[in-house]
Amino acid sequence: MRSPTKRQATILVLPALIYLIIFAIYPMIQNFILTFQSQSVTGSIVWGLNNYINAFKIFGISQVFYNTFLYTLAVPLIDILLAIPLATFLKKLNKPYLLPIVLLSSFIPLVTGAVMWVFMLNPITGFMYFIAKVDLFTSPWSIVIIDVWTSLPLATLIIYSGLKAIPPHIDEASQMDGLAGMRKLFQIDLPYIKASLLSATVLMVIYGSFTFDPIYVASSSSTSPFAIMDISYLSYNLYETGGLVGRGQAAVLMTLMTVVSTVIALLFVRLSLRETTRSGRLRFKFMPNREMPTKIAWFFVLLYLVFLLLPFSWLLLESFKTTAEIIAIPPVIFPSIVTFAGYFMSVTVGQPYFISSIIVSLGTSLLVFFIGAPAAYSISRHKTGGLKFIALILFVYSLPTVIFMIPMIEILKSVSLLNSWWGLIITYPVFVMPITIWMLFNFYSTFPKHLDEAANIDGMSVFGSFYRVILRLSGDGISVTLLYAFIIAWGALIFPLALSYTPFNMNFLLPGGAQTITIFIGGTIGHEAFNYGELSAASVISLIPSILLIYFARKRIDKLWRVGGTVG
Amino acid sequence: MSSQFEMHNIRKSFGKFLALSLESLQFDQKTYAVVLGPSGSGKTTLLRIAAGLETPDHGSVIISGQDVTSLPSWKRRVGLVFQNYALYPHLTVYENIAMPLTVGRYTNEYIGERVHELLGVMELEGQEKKYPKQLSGGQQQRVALARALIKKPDILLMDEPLSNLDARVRIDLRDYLKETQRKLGITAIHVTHDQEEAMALGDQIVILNKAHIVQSGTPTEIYSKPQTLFAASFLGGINLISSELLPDLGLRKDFDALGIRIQDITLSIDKESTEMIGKVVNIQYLGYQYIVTTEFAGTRLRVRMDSLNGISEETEVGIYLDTTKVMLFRDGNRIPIEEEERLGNPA
Repeated sequence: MRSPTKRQATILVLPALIYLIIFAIYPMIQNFILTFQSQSVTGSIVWGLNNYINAFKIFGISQVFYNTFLYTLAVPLIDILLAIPLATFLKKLNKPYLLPIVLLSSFIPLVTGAVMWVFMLNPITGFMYFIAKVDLFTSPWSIVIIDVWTSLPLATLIIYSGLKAIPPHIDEASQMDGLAGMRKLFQIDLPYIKASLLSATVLMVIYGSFTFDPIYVASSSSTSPFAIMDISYLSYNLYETGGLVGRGQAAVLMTLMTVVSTVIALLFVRLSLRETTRSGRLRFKFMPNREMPTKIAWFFVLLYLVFLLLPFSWLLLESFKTTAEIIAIPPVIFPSIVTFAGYFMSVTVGQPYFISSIIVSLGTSLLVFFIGAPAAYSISRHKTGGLKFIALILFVYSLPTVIFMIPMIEILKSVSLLNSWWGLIITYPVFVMPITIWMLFNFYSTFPKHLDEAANIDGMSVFGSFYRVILRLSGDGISVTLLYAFIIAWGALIFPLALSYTPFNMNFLLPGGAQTITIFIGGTIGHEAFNYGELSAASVISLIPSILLIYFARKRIDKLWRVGGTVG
Repeated sequence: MSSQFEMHNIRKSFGKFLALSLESLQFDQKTYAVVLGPSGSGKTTLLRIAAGLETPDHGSVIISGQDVTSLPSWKRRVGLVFQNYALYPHLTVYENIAMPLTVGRYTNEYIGERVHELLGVMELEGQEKKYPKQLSGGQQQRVALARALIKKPDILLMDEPLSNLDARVRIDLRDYLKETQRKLGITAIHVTHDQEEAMALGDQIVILNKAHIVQSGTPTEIYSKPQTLFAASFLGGINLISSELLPDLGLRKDFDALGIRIQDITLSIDKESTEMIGKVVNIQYLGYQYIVTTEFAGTRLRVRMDSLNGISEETEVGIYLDTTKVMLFRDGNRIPIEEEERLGNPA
């Protein structure tokens, strides 16, 4: 017989578990089944291995594989190599205002980030005109740059959190021993934060391997879309344009991605959950043993800031320009007349998109909160499901969103929720909830145990102590996590692309249509009739939730993202 | 003997909080010095200033005749044992001990030699490949000690080095610390809040309270001649009685508290020859002696007795103070027992 405590703890996990089975596990199986379905000449469905054979004959597939490979390797490598010095400088300079500024580009909608780069790198009307008049989007390295730009801050944050968690007495001991600068970094700091380094690396691998948003934005205006395409984007494209044949081949690629990410996920799960063993050797005697002068550290930080903030500045400037100045050749850097026409246009034309985004993101955050928070608490405090449940969470987290696309369409069709707010709200948690649960799991792991014990002694059940004591005391952790959930939902692109096809009809009594602001921003850029000013103003507005998150969370942001070595 | 360690006019504040303020402090070569004080008294600040982990607002630190106030820690010829040892968790015992030498220009042979020498001194042979986590608290302590000693410092600094250990290990290591200090002929500065530890180890004890030095001297001096009420009470084993509660003991009248050590009081069932009557409330038997607590005029007095002589709990007893051994305090400072002593005898 299981104790009532255990039973109640299990009930707290159940909604999240059922959700993940329906919306994450079932789609993977469904994809696998679809790979065997193709169409005969007469139009009837045939079962077989045709999709597997044909998928690898698609025109440009070798370039697509090469690109995927490049994104998977180059992005994490460059990220980590750039993040270690940046995190070290941030710790050294110890200026609390620097971290939020550095972090911004990792917390904005990916589409917005991609739009900024497409604007800036335009060789005729963008900032690129002043550097070299070449179209970088003919090379996959353009996507690598955007990926690094959006993921470097996250890698930096994880490494910075690790560095900040080194106890002061270890720093003082190395001061006594005379270790400084690079020697201390390699001899003491990096081995000490090995877990954070590995977690950051794996996260960046996941990040790079299934790049979607920048390719979507860039290829709509690109002259050679295959040059930058990867498997993730190709599978979406096949489904959108290829009918039943395309669907089968897309399913093959999605299954392939599932397998690859399962391998990466296994690695990730093992790294995140294992007890950290640290080992290091005295092999860094050649490293300079001197503190870097503060001025030089500042110089490098400023270089980083130029890279990280330049796209923001360009977008901001664009949003206040008149149309004539936006398309002027050579480009105008500072607008001669500041106009708010773009903002005015974007809130009028973009209104239905903004409304859908706000409602869907709010709804998703609430749903994630109701399902995720009890589960996170239960697995953290009552070890429900042991490590298995949290491993499932990390597994789903490391899957590319695009693989859920086809089955989600089928699911929503069957309940007539396609192209509706509810459709997006019930499906979004599949990519929002895992990270939310993981963050709350870490949050509750550091929560004082005696609170539950006191509640238990006062005669409260697991439910009672969770809903009446713990929830009320975890306001700060939950609010930051929910705000983060909100901005992930806010920045979502693949699901709204696949699951909605018209904007909100502006009828609150009979709402219909659910296209989001990300579609408004990302989907219009390639069209001939689009308005630059309106688009850049909408992009600036789309940054607001991210800026709010970073502002509210600035004091504890390094603690919430502390990954690795938290269990065991 | 020449002076090995000096501090002059040191002052250190953290914001508005004055952490340490002392005019001068000096320890001779090969002294085992103990800095004793309650938490917040400034003793750790003193040690951290000596180690170079904290810069004083003003004043100077002199080690072996050289002014080191502006020198970084590793150039000061001091070794520091941290309260929680601060061993590098990712390095082995060998690597932890060797670390300070890897920074200088030493050959690997020399480093190996030194490490093995210290492993011998610290009785850690065979442990060199283990990680700190795999060692007991006492062993970790000795690794930290070895790391602090490997550069042959002039002064060994120790911040509450025994506070993280079990009571029994603590006593063993206490002997060990003193023996090691004697064997290496090194000057040691040991910071603690434990008066018993201070008495047991110190050649010289400095008592700190609220950022100031209260008293400095040998353990005997400090124990038998505490200069202030704080020093007397912090060393423990003393009863403090407010002057209003006392009958005329034939002493001067202008004191506000009387202190008497627990061994200088006698309790007896005979209540005839004293005006102080108390009631026994508790008897602790410690194996070789008794600590009897008795209630007197609303305060509790503790008395050390070798035998109970018929006293048991609830007994009414006569209290006899050895008036030659009492200490009198006024405004927190010690005053002589008889006024004449100080004023000189006018008659």
